[in-house]
Amino acid sequence: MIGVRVTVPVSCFRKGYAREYLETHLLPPPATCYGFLLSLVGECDRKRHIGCRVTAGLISTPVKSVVLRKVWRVKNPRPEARENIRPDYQELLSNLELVLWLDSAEEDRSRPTLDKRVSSTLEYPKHTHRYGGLSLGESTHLVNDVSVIKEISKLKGDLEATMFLLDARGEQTLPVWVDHVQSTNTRYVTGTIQTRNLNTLSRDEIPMIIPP
Amino acid sequence: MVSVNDLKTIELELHAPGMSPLHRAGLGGLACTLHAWQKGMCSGAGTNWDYPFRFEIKTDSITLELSEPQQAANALQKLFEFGFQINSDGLIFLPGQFHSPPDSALLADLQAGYLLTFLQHGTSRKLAKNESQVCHRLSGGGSWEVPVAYRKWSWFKQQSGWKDLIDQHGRFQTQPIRIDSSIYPGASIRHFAFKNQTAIKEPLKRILPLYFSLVGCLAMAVNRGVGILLVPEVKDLHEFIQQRPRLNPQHASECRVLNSADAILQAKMRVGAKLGINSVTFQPTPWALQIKSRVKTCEVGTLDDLTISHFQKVYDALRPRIVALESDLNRSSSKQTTVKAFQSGYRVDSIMRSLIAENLIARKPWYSGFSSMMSKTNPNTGRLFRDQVMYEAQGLHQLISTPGIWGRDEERLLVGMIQNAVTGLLSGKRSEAIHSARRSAPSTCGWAYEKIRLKLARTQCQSQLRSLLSQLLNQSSSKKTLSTEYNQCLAFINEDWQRCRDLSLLALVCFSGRVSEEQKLKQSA
Repeated sequence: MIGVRVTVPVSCFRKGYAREYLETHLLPPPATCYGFLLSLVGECDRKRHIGCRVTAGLISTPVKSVVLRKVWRVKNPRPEARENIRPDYQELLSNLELVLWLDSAEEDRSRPTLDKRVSSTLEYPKHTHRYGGLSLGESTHLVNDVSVIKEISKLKGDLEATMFLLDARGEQTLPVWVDHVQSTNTRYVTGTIQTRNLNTLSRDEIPMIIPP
Repeated sequence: MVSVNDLKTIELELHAPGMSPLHRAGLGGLACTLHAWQKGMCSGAGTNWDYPFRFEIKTDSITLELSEPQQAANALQKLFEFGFQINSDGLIFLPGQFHSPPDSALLADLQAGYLLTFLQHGTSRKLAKNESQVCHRLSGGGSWEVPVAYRKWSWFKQQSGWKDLIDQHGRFQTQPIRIDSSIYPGASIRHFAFKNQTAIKEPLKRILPLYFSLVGCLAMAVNRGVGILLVPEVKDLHEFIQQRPRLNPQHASECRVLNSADAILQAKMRVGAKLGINSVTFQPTPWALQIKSRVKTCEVGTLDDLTISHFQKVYDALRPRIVALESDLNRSSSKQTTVKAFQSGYRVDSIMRSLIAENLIARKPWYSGFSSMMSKTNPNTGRLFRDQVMYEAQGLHQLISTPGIWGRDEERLLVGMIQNAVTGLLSGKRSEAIHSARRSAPSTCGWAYEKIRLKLARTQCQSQLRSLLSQLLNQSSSKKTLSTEYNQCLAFINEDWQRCRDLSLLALVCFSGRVSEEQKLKQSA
């Protein structure tokens, strides 16, 4: 299990059904964290690291604000058509400081696992082939810095984080696999957002990335 | 996980993956509907509603069991016919929401909320062309008749929703079913050029609760263009069956809400502070005037009893008033001999309560932001808030005199000090005006009052506020007493001058009622 510390100046983790007034989750869902880590190591096959467990923990208190932005939709198949653009409100989170908790114990061990690839990417960035900016959430929400936490004591402040953890009777439901075109093949897990000491996390509490 | 076993049994779980707060509220609505059905059957009142399936409601799940898979169509049709009714007045009646059938006027008020949220699109309803009217009959402070206009319903989408949930053989649908904004407001198609591909589709296990979200949620209208959807957090289905009828407004005045915070706090006053409530505000936007889009959300979890008791005090002081219709006023002034048991009136609501409710939910002092409100225009009426607040001076005066409304002593002291200073100043001005006989006393007082208000509203820093307050105290007749109080408040002003500016303006507005009453008395004399 490794921890990846990420800071993002501005971000939005849009709720699946929010197609007007783009609401944000407080934390990036496991599917978003997984996509971010794949992008970090330059992996294009989204099924490559199925079976890994990943969740996000907040170590700062982000500020929520609402902005008016341009939203794209396809109303007219001609891409240049003016009716394909409309304004809408969007919630944004500012000054996010996160810890992504990643466990690859249940991945296919015959190939390099995601936690090893993340560690090696951050240790030897020149050995990794990737393209594009690294963002968490939308593509415009670029991250500030990423680092592997080797020692938990190096974290800022105390060791507590607000995390999404599995709970069969939880009130939160977040996706571990997203069907971006339709919603039919989106897979959710149930859990709660709770403040926990990072030393006390067990593997079974962390959501697993599995397609439907 | 929810399962459809052999197409005979459906188990719907409250905490299944993919169950959003609206799904859970919908499952609560389904539980309430089944409970109402069962109750009707037990009392013998529901002989027309024999249920063709067995069901079991547990604290966190509902199981529906058919004897044969082919009975699904018949079972769902009967369930939907019972759950989504239209009464003899042409109003939507959802038995799951009430212990006993309510007044038609209350249903008409609730109906205005449905039209702005779930059932805003013409394709999801059939309404009569002409308006009908029902009346709230109220007593207390006179006998009042408050009319509510509505259009009669002949059909709405939920009534025939069961057809989407079955396949061509009359069994439960196993394919994902498309949802639209009439069952999940705001869940619209992403790309209209590719409707089929980008519409949200849900399996039966999640779509059945969504249909009953109309029962589990409470939709309320702020005015003709703005609607608020309250989505209660359902944690225990048995508990929710007891809570849901209490969530409804019980009287005509409770049907009025000002914004989402006000709606949530009013609902919590009725149900209890522990129930978590999420709200969504729907209103037209400048880029889509024809529909009411989602424009704001608000999540309020468990609140402490102190916040609710504070809001209760606010509601008591600033509750909706009933104003007589002009035609009735003319009739009474012309001394006609018509004797009416009820006087016609309409409801007028407070302006200040919306700000106070938002502050209470944000855990700020209840008067925070009062000064900025005093320089804004009300988007609903186009009038300045400060002109409208004057009508509430009496209620505000009652509020600031309520014991326990202040968080700290300095707040009460500052308000009292400013009111005394203004009283002293204006009495001085009045006597000057009477002696000089150049200008009438009331207008001199009004002018002096306006000057103080403008100076306070324009205050930009702590030193400005301090100099203004000390100037005010110097001009007042009871300087000595007030200067002691001022010294006591000085630390508070230094600590948070913006809060003190809000308080000063509040004190002035509460005072304005007395000024205008004095003016009226002098004018009538």
